[in-house]
Amino acid sequence: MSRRLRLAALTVAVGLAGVGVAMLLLAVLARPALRLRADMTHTGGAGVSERTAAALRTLPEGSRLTVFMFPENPAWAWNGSAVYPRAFDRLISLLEDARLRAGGRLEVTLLDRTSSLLETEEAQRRLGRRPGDALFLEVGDTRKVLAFEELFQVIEPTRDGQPARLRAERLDHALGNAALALASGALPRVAIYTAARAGALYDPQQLLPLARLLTDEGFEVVDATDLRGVQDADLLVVPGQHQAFAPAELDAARAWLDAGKPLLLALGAFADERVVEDWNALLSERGAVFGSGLICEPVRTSGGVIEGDPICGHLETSGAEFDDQHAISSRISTSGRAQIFTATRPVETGAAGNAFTIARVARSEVEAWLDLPGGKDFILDGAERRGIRGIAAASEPWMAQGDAANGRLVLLGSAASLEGGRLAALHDFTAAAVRWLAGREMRDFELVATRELPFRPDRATQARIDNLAVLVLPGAAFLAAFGIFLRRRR
Amino acid sequence: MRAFIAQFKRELRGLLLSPYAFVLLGFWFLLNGFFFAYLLRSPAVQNDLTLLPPYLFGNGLLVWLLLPAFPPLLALKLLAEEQRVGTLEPLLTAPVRDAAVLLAKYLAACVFFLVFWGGVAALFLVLNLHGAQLDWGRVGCGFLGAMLCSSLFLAAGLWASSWSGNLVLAAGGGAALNYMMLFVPSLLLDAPGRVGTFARAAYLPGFLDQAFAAGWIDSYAIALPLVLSALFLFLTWLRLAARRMLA
Amino acid sequence: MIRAEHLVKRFGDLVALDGVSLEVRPGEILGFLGPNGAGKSTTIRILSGWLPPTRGSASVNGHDLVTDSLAARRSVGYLPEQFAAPHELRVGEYLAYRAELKGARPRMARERARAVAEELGLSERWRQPFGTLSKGFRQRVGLADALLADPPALLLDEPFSGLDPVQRQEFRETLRGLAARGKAILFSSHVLPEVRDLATRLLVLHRGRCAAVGTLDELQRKLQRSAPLRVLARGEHATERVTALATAHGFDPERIEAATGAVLLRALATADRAALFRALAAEECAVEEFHTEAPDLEQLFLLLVREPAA
Repeated sequence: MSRRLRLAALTVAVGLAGVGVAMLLLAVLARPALRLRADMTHTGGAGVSERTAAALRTLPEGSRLTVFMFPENPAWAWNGSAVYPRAFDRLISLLEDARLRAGGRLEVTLLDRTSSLLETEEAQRRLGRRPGDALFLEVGDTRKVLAFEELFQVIEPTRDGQPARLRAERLDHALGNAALALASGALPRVAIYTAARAGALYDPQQLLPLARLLTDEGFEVVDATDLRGVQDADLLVVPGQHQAFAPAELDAARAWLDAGKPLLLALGAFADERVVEDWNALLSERGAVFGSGLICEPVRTSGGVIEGDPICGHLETSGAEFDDQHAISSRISTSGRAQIFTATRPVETGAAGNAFTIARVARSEVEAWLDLPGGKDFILDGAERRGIRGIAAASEPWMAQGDAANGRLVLLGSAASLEGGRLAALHDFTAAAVRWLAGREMRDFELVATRELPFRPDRATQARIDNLAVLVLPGAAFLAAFGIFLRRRR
Repeated sequence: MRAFIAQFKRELRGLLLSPYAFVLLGFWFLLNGFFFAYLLRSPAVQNDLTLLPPYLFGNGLLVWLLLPAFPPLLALKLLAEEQRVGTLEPLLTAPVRDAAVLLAKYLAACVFFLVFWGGVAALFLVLNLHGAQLDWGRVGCGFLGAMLCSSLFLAAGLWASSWSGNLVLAAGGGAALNYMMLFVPSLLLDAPGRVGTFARAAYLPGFLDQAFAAGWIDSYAIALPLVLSALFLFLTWLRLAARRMLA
Repeated sequence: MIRAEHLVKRFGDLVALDGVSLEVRPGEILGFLGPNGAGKSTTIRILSGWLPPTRGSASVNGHDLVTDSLAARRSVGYLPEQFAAPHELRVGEYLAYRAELKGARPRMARERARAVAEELGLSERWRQPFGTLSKGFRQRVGLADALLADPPALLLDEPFSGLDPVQRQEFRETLRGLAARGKAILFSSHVLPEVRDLATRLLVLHRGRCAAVGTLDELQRKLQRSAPLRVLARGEHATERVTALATAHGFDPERIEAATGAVLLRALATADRAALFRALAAEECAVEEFHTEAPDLEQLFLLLVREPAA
């Protein structure tokens, strides 16, 4: 072989070796375990939460996630709506993070209009997909299906031409729940106390919506008719109590609290006073107790302020009436989301020494008054003074011990809000309260607000931007080129 | 190091004093401007401006059409033009390593390409001044991704530029190579087995879209263009060394 | 200072250099002669580090050009045959950049560029872009570039091409001055008077081989025997008779000078001068001239490149 040929062969060999080294390096760096990612979005919510990541890591090898990204609701695509593009953008971004954080256990398949028709058909058939189903998580033969509406909240388009808009997403949380449910089958258990209300948990007019909400939040729901049987549950929810405790049950309630287990206690304005007294006796050392009466607020209509209307039993709170510092209420406060509390009893917060830290997470407006027992219904009279009243309070030990959720307590002055269709108007608050009680960090569970203000430039602004983009910048570059050319010629 | 800095300054100055580079910049601004104005009129983008970074820096026309073509047009100034004019011989017989010369040329081109993206950044600033709510994290990451991708395409252009003193061949070869880097993996994305895995790991628009434009700083998405750029620089260095050896 | 040993360079099947050896000592100016394609530029390009030799070795200032290329390149200033610089750069900018590239600090680089420009008469062109310079000034910029790092050796490939007579004169003086400062200079040229006036030694390349090397005197002495024999005879048909006798005695009549009628004879292998002279005397030719002239450089060059390579 000539020297020239040898050198050429050597050069090619070295070049190929370089290509090999680069590929090897990339293959190593592509490993999920070696991938480092930092979320730079201003919400900090581009990826999955720690909770979801941990849940995904518990999945067995070979788990599959199939996502169908098809804009199936025409109303959500009208008038230039960004619902689907934005939602699919989020899905792609978040699921890529999910795939990486799952440590190679999750195979993600995204199907959209650009995918192979055959592949899409085959996946639809295999998974038995119905219109609206967006996400399928499969572990072996079991699967969890999530519809688009379970992943994103959408504001419907209006008749005056406003397009549909994404309001919020719960993609991360829904994915985490699905992973938890499929990975172990051993979900945290929540006991709903339904004493004297047999079947309430299965009645859509009573507690079925609450049970569903808790299931969605990743709990296994247990119907507790007697407090003595709930000690092995992880969370206790008392959505109103229609009869007073027997002594043994009172002891069980005390034991529950003494064990530092979390409790969501809702007692409305019309709760039996004996029940309130029993609980207050247990709760007083924690700095939050229930007061008496019904919180009323003046109702503003186009005809002016009406006082004494029975509807004042519904308190519609704006963002300003929530504690913007507390994990339960901060997101509701900052997003300005309205919540409705029905037939609300005041929750009073007071001194509890240094053992507990108490927060009034929801309160009435300053014009509210208390319609006291014995007084004339819903009318402000001389005995009832205006002022801010607590609607819900949260208490937790000042020094956390062990599990972060230990000793956490939420007192809600409305039980009716947790029942039937009314829960929809208090969904955010209830979900946030339950998550906080379960010890999850705020970022892990909050609905991610996806709403950005639309940008609708007027004609002059649009023209200015167009001019800059198409005329000024290119023109300046061409002018610079001409200037340099002239300078050279001189 | 002194030689490297001298060469870097000279290359940057050469680009800044080149009518050709500014004409190129003008066309880039013009096409980008049209694209930007077009996107901004889209109701979906107006309804949700967070869609702008992925459309602009992710999987849109800019990445698929303009980005692979412009860097080689700039890179041809670096080696092919030197070969054509005859300045390569004095340069490579100076007491300076070929690698330092190449690196200086490459980095100068990358820095000059920042001006290309700077114009697009100016459009975002103007948008912000007119009250648009922008997620600067996403916009910034989008820029980072686009710049890394540009630097890869510049490196590929530099390699193509080392093969010939014919400017058309150098630019055309570089652009063809860049388009191949986009299209070949995209055609193999759904291929079964290792081919599909490899294609997905090499699919640049995917990373621009799902990582950078989505607001992520992702170590692999950064490593991919950097490692490939380093590979092309190495191949260019090898080409120069072979040219000396085989001449 | 500059040394090459048995340099061989092949471009595919073409052998451009075939065992060329040379040495240029400090203070010496070696003129590099040869017809087109003889291998002059190839040799200089190898010595500059631009081309590698196929075989053989070359070094500058003791640094091998292949194994210690960077140090060797530091020791040499190189002016290529077709010198070019970026057209948009001004002379001053270009020289300062090159000085910096060759290792000077930025401020020092500018000062050094100024000094060299002044030395080579480029001060007035300091702010002129390279693209607007005449060929002569471009060559000067190239030489200035070669001198910037004050290297002990200079390689100049056709440095006089494109220069007008005044510029050539100045250029020669500059090179002499440099040699006087101890620099080893190797330059190639087609312009023989330049080489004669400037070179302290000559090296003639022919078909990739070293045809001759030495001072002009040495070469003249060496080649005197090969020089043509001039015979001028008077009388009837003297020219024809001289030609016939010369042919009979092993000479090849090269040409006849029209003005004088002298016959210039090239000696063949069997040539016998004494026998020819005796034959001319016997034929009663009135021989007025019978001698060999010392060849001038042009003749020398022609002699060497016509002969088979030494």
